[in-house]
Amino acid sequence: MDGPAPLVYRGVSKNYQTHFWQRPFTSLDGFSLEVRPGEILGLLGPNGAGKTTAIKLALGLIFPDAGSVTLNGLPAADPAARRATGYLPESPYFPDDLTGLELVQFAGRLHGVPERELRARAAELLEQVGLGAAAGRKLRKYSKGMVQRAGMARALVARPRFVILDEPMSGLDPVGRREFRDLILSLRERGATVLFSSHVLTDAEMLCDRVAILKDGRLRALERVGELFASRRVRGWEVEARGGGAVAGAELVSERGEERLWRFPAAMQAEEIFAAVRAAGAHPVMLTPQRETLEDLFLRTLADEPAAGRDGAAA
Amino acid sequence: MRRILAVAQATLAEAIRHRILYLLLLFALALIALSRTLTLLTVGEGGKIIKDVGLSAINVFGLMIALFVGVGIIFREMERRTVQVTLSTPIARWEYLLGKFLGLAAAITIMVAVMAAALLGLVALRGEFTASLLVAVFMLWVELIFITAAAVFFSSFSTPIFAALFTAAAYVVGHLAWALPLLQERLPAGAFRTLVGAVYFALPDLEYGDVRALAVHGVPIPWDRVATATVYELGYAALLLTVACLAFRRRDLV
Ligand SMILES: Nc1ncnc2c1ncn2[C@@H]1O[C@H](COP(=O)(O)OP(=O)(O)O)[C@@H](O)[C@H]1O
Ligand SMILES: [Mg+2]
Repeated sequence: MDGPAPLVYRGVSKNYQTHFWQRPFTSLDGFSLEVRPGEILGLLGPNGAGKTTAIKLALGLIFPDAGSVTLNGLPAADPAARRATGYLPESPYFPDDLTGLELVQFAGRLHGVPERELRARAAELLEQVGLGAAAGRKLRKYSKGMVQRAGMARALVARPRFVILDEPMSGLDPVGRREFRDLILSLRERGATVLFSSHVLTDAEMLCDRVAILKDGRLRALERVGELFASRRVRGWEVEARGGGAVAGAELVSERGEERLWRFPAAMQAEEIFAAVRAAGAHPVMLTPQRETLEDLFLRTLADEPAAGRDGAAA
Repeated sequence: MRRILAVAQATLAEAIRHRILYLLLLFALALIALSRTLTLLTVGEGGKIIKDVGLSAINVFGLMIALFVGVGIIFREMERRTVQVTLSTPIARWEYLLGKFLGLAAAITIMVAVMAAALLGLVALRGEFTASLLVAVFMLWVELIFITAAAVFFSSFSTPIFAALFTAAAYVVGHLAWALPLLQERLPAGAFRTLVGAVYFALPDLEYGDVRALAVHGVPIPWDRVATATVYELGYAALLLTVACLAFRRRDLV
């Protein structure tokens, strides 16, 4: 899908002044990223990496100290930039005197959804996120997962072309996570672009077209998930074998009766492995390459570079 | 416009749900009702006492409503970050502030109307209704609108506790500012005298618009004073709101 990029960060830095006598704390440091139209981009990173900071900059809730943020082709500070954009905040807190329906309707009014369509659309969205029966109840009586669901309905009220979700899966049970995943995928099918932050990798692995990995306010990696799967490095081999004794050059992973699972280093070739297994008097049954997962990439990326050039780290 | 109204409507709805509002309203009404029994203690001055107590009740409780509910609602928005949720939509920051102000002003207006209805009804029963009483209520309302604007103004750039304190201070200062010109007259010409003049010019003078004493004594209130004071106080409120919008425009909402 083409068209202008929904969101572009160019050399963005953001410092927080916690106390006037302290040095400012750098939450985002020379951050550049372009979200492409129609993709699902996962913003990954450990707690405190700067994910929420990046998202708040996109929505004009905070302003960069350096660099520029462009949302839907307009400067992020311009309210009109947010017109076709939906947002689910991190652990959202909404006015709890409102009912789910009122929450979604209020957002719809601010987004300029025509009043005559609004009620039906709000009810439909709440139904879609599984709150059909609770739509008339006050948010005060919602569980955390229900608030999260209501927040998702709220984010979608303007039929946004771009949806920003900050830790959308937090507070959800496994069924809820599954439903949210399907919902996010259906957004892409509809042609919408999705940016979501997470520190849970399985969600990202299943959903994302690309992942951006942040740490200490810096972008450490930007990868296509598909390519990651296709050309993932082999980090070892596992061989299932029956019978025999100890296999030279291999590590015993598990053993069940006659069947043993051996692990070989990545550098070995398949023939060498089979030869080693046969030499030990065992019969090889199955050979599987151990590929790098997103988790490995994540951990490796984070371990790679020490946090350099970061000031006020003690803050 | 629809966005401003949506925020105003939500704010009014929230204000009306505040329990403290009804508590204050109850106190004010009780006081107004009680002023009737006070009249039994004195002879001949009954109507004056009712008017005096009634107008003071509207003034004090109106102020408390503006402080508790006005600052309280903005406090909650900032503290619980619901403001970020609202501002993540295509609403401009000034629209949000203006909507907040209008919603709070509507709540104050309703409260003043209820209290005033009680007072005017009581006075009318005694056959002592005067137009000047109505004018005095109107001027109290204007002052409360000014205080509401001050609450929004201080909330736009300071923390909620300070906003409440500053707003209360604005009321006190506004009622003491009249002394500055008197001080200025007694000072010898010079830098300090100029400074006192400048400070007086900058501060709001709420005493000029306070026509309670005239209304209580049934003295007709000069229209030019009402007009000048109204334009002055509402103009000052508009100025505060404008500055508030400018201050809020680039504030980080963390
Ligand atoms: N309002 C704030 N004042 C000071 N520091 C902050 C503030 N908000 C975030 N930070 C700091 O900025 C860093 C990035 O925070 P955040 O963007 O929330 O991370 P993430 O969402 O990736 O967990 C953290 O170290 C956090 O402590
Ligand atoms: Mg976060």
